[in-house]
Amino acid sequence: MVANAGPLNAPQTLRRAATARTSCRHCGQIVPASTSAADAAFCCHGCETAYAVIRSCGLERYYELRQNLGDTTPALTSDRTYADFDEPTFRSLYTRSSGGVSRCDLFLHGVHCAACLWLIERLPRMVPGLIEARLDLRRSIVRLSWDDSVVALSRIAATLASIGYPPQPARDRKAREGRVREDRRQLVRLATAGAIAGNVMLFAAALYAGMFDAMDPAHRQFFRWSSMILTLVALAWPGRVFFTSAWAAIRTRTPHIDVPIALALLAGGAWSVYTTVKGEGEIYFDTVSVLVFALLAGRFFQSRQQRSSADEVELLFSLTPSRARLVDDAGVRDVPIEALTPGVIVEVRAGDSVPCDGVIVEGDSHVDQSLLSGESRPVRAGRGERVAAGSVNLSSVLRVRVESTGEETRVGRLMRLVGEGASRRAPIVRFADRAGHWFTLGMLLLAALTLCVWLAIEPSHAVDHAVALLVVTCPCALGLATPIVLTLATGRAARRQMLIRGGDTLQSLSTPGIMVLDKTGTLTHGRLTLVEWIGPAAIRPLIAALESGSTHPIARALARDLAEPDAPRTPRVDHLEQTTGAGIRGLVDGVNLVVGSVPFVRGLAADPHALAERAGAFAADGLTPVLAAINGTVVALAALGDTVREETGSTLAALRSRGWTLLIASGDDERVVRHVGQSLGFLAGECLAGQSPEQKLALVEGLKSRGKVVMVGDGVNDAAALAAADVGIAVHAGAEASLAASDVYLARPGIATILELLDGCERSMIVIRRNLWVSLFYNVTAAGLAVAGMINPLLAAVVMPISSLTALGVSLRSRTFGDRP
Amino acid sequence: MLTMIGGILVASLLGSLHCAGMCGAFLALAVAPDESARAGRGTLLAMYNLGRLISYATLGALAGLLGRSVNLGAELVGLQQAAAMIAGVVMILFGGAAMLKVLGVPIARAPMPHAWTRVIASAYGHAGRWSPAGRALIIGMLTTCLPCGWLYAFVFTAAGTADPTTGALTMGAFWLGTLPVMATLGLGVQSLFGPMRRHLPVATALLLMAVGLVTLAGRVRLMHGPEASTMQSVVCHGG
Repeated sequence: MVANAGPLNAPQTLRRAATARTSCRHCGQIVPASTSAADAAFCCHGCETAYAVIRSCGLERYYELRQNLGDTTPALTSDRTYADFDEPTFRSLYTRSSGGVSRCDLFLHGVHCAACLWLIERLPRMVPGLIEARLDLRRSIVRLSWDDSVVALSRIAATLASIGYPPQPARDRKAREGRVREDRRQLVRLATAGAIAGNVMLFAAALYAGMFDAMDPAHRQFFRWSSMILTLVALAWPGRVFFTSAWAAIRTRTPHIDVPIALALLAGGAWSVYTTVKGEGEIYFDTVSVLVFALLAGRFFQSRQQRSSADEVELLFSLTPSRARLVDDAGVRDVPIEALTPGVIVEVRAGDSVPCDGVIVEGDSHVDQSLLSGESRPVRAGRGERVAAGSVNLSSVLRVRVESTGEETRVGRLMRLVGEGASRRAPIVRFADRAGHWFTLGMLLLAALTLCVWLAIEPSHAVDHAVALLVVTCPCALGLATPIVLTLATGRAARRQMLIRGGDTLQSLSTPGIMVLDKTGTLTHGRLTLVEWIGPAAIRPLIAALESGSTHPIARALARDLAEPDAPRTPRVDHLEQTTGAGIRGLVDGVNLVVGSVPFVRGLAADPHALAERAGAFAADGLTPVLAAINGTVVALAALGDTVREETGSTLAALRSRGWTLLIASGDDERVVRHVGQSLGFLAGECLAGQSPEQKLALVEGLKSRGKVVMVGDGVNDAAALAAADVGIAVHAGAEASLAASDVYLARPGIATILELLDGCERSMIVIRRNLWVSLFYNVTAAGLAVAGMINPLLAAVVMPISSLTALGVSLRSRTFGDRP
Repeated sequence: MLTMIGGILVASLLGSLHCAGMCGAFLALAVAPDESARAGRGTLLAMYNLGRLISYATLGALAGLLGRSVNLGAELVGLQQAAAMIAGVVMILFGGAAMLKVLGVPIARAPMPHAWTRVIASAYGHAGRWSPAGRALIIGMLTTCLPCGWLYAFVFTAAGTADPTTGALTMGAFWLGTLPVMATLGLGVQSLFGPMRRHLPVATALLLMAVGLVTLAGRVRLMHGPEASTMQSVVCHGG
């Protein structure tokens, strides 16, 4: 009878809805149907509470014993024991299990600062059976891993709630609604604290005035007691957040900045209550209530700023649109992307990003898939072909049937990889965390010391000074600003098509080390192109036509580079004959044409030595010579090569000037590698050729003993080496494979982006270090002034939020990675 | 004052049927026969109602105190007997809102803090450890903690009297009016008044407004009697 019986009661519920009147679950009185569905179960709060109390005492049988009260279907009182988290439906929707370990993402209310992160990640100490709790600070989502056989999710959830962070399942939409509700609650708390602070200040003003003129003792008592009651309300309701997290921090033995604040409030409040009851002495209710208000206001603005930076950093939405054009019987309308389900049709106009993974059902256009494939050239996309979310539709409108959206798309999975990596602790963040712990402990000790010293010197203000010290010092730059800068930088880099995994990568790349570069595709274009041509221009289209019949890479290069797209007609090819690995011949426009390697053509041509020297010179340069003979006479020589990208030379020079040691490791032939290397300023010893993937791995491992190793390559055959390097940078290759093995994926081909990457990393680290120094300076100064007794708590309450807001604001405005030009 | 007390008594009597509905469960809990049968049903019933009386009277006294301080504060800005005025207005508003609810107009309800429910529930749980008589007493006292609008309307009235003693008396009158229903075991009485139950919400709404009007109009009359002159001297001469 107890729990929600759900579907079993559906017919009765329908019947009830039809009559639009219902009886109170508890007392049976008719309840008008005006109230919402959830409330309609009871006629008043009293019955609702009574019902809850009876249920919690396990006495539901009372309802069975009652006679005269008609149908009672079970009520929908909210169950704060989180028992529904253990229900099978919940588990199938929100949890994943593998090998005895279950995982679940929960959205937490009440997460407001980095110290909460320390707290929540210590949860495994409090709950046996919980393996790990990792908090994503900007989204307030905790990822739990636990052993099902030891502990149930409901217990974990209840523990989270008891330390001040009520959880709910973290589906994106619900999480956003949860955030809206959380915002509203925060606003209500803030407004209440403000109202109370205002009123207490009015009383305080009256009391101060009464100190100079005489005040009737009855009125004085009235003001003091009224201030006390109001302040106690402020501490019990809006101010409770400080006590809850301080208590939780003490239970988990984590130094949290709320501990000194809670102590300050407690000290000020308790002392003032004592003096009020005693009837004489100083009261600090104005201080305490304004403190609560100012701190809540500071926290409110902080979370707003954090939210806006989190939205900035929301990687998925920076790369895919948040709205889509849904096509249905009513026409085309604009819907949020969450409204898309597999099977519906969306319309993607020219210039728009594709919002989902899917299949084209109508339209013929070109798409830019550079984000995922690295291929910056537009790809033809027509009916029946697949498109991926994040690609840009270039020329004409397309209609796509949705297959997957959001996190299930290729780009979504990619972003999840990046997002997961983002929580990897950069060394500097770990340093900031530890510093924050020591800082908090140090401040508590200093406050105790201050109290003792001032009690000896001038007791009346001792509490004042200690409270001021506890309030004014703030490790915000330590706890908050550093992670924000890192995540912000990662997000901005993503918009510049540089996907960075992990804050530690940012820190690693900010200083120079050894960089090992792959050649093919990284330093060069990665495909054969026509480099030299000796011969008449007239036969170029003939060769192109002949070569288009073959799939050999040389043939493809020739067909592409020698073709004339504006020609009125393509030459006719007859009797095509291909000799594998050597060449091709046939009848083109009536002419007998032979194209192939030097030995092949020489064997068939009448004039074997023509262009021989040039062919030899090309080979020595690392190019591939191709001869062409018409009707038995050698007429042309083409040289094909993999050319170095234009920007490579300047990029490498810039890298060297920053102190990087560069090496080439390539699987290509020795001569080619040496030629390329020399043209780029490498010494012979710095060019390693013929490297198999295993040899590249061994190379990287060996170099690590000499310093930091950064490996740059395409993810395909360098995977092992990329993974082994301190930082692996994948350039211009399939995105998923690359990101799986490497720490950075650059979607734009070529290594020029690396400079931008390194610049951004360096600037980010500069910002972080600057924040830390400024924070140190501020805290030392402020603490000194407070200990010397020159700051009163009110001033402290105002200054502290200002300092943390400044730290945050500066972090957000800082130049890390530039915006898209 | 007698008029006021009389009015409260009548209102409480008429509205007590709902009290049976809501608190009947706790009454049953309190007088549930136990194995040792150390205390008879009559004793348990008496203890339960005594518990209710104690907490009602305390609440009334506190409310009166609160009302007095409101008066004191209000006098500083020149308002006389603000407590009674406020109480009267609030009662009328309560009654009006209740009436609107009956008529089907949606009125939003403020959410209850869950912590409060938990506290009450655990208090009830602890009550189980006492002797039957003690348990009945505690359960009786705890019913005051349930957020019953009807009860708290009368607490407002008590606050309006701006005097602890009168406040306690007000709540005593309220208690008296609920006694008939709560003294009998409730269940039988309900069936007796079955047909009237449909009209209960309207009746209670009207009663609330009536008591509010009486409070407002009666503030003049409240000031008859010995307390009046003391209060006036406090106001005029500052003590």
